[in-house]
Amino acid sequence: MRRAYSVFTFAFGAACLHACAGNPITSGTGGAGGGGVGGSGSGGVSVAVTGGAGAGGSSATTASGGVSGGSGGSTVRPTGTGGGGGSLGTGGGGGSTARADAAPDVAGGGGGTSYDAGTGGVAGCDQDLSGTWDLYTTSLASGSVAATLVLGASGFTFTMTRGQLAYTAAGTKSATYKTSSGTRLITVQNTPAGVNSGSFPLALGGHWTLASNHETCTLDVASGTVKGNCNGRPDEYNVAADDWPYIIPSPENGLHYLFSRTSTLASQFGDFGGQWTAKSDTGSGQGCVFKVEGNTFTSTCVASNDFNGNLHLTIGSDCVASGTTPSGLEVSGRRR
Amino acid sequence: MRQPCRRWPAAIGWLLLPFALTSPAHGRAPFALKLEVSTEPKRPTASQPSPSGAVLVLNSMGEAQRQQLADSLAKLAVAVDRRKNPFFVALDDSEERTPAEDQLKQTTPAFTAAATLCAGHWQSAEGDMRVRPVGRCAARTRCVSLTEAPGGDEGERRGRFLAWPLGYAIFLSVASPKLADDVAAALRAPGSTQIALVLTGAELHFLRQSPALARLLAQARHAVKSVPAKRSPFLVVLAKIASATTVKDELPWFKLPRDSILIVPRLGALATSDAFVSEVRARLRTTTAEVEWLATPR
Repeated sequence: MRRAYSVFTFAFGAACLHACAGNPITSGTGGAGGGGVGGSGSGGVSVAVTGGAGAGGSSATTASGGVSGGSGGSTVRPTGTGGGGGSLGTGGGGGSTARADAAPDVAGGGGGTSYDAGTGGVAGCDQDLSGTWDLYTTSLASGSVAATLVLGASGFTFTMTRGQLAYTAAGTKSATYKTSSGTRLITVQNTPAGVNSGSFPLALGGHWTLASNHETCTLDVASGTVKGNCNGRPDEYNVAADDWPYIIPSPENGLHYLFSRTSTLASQFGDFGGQWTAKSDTGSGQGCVFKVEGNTFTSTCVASNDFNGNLHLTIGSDCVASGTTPSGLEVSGRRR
Repeated sequence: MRQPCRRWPAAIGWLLLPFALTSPAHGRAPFALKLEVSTEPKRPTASQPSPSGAVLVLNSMGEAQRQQLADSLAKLAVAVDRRKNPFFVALDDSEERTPAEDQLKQTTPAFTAAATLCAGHWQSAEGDMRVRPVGRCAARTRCVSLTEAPGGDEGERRGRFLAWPLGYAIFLSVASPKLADDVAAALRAPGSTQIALVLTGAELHFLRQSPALARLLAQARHAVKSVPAKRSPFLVVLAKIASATTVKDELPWFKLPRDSILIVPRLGALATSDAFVSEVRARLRTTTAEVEWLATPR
């Protein structure tokens, strides 16, 4: 019963820490255009062009789009330049971006229809989840508690009442977890590999090593499979709270976790779209089935704990995300 | 002989016409609740005592649901009492706890919404935006009318999100308080994945009495006394229910007419507002009441 929990929680831990542990050094030249007001071009892998200064130029602003998008500006990510802007509700011509770990540059295509009208030129969340998010999670004591997530190509910062988890992807990768009792450092190493994470702004592919205190976890993320393993001191059952932020579930030491994609589905999360199974090498028969399709993530777990049942997460067209766990706990977020 | 022209009645009629044209249906006062959004820099306020929300949760339960929870708690109480027998040795109490825990677990979304609503004001994690419900907004604040279609600028959309139990809610109105009770009962049918709370104007402030409620409260009080005091979400919820009769009105600021209904979505369903609205529409089709939509998130 414990094992199945760990399979699931490892997925969460991996999704959070490793998802945030990439360095998508984006490069490439812009295609013809980016979004106008809330618009986004559909041709690029990621098009987050704001209305900005002249064609092919770059701009530090990220939300200056007017009713009519200007000519190309910079993207939220450090990508190449954008092209012509779009107008209200529709994107301009697509730009192009390419991450260091992804496939070669994709040429910009035609303008797309925005699902995020009126956000001033930032890409729709179906294209790019970068930005600052207001978050709410269930609290039985007080109803719901607020937190903030700042997510971008260079890392993320998750701030809540009890502390802050921050990850820096640029330069020397590292993660820190600050609480009132101190700061904990998690070292991060990565050998990149080609995995397209779609709208998720951080690169996920490759071999990862996370180390903190007495724990070392490794994760191998490829297109279609994810493998993970953690090891600590001999007497430690799992990745404990003194190694790992309590907000991230703890995998069990010594086990090997395997996530396999059994079929592919169209998704805003690129190569992660599809049906997945998750299991460990315990042979317990318990485990999870995941489905990543379109803008939704669902999981069904067979376990003897709170994860038994269904989990659902949806990223709405207006950049409002929400979901619920089998135990009735809920989460919701909105990008500013 | 010509009759003298009686101009006064006509003039009065013309003067009253605009009011007649703008008066709401069913003759009630207009729905005036607004969200006042303030963005002046301010440190986050210190945490205050957490609201209970139990009155709202219990009122949002239909009679059958109250009965079901009372039955589960009664079984739990019997099991706990049996264990007090010195000749009874239990190895595991999970079997006895599970039905009651499952029932209480289903109330989690309702408690989340209720406690958040009862807070009465909301602010971002950094404290850079604060929202409160008002009848009239103060100067130099962003005023969000709940009766107008959502949209507007980023300030309004963010304000609605922070105050989600109101900003994403549906408000309905019917012809009478009695009809509001009937429509609310129809909306409370089990099986919803979108709805957290369904409350009439009267149910925002006082417990709706019923035979099942009396039994439920008695069982909850008994369980709280009997179950070992091991802190768990299960006991937190149970304690809130047990003390529902002692909680004062947690929404004194919320003046919703008795012929109106508030429907709050689940926190976990804010991204699926279309489905939330669709579900409410589908449930309303089971009633014959004429319903006026005062506010909707879509």
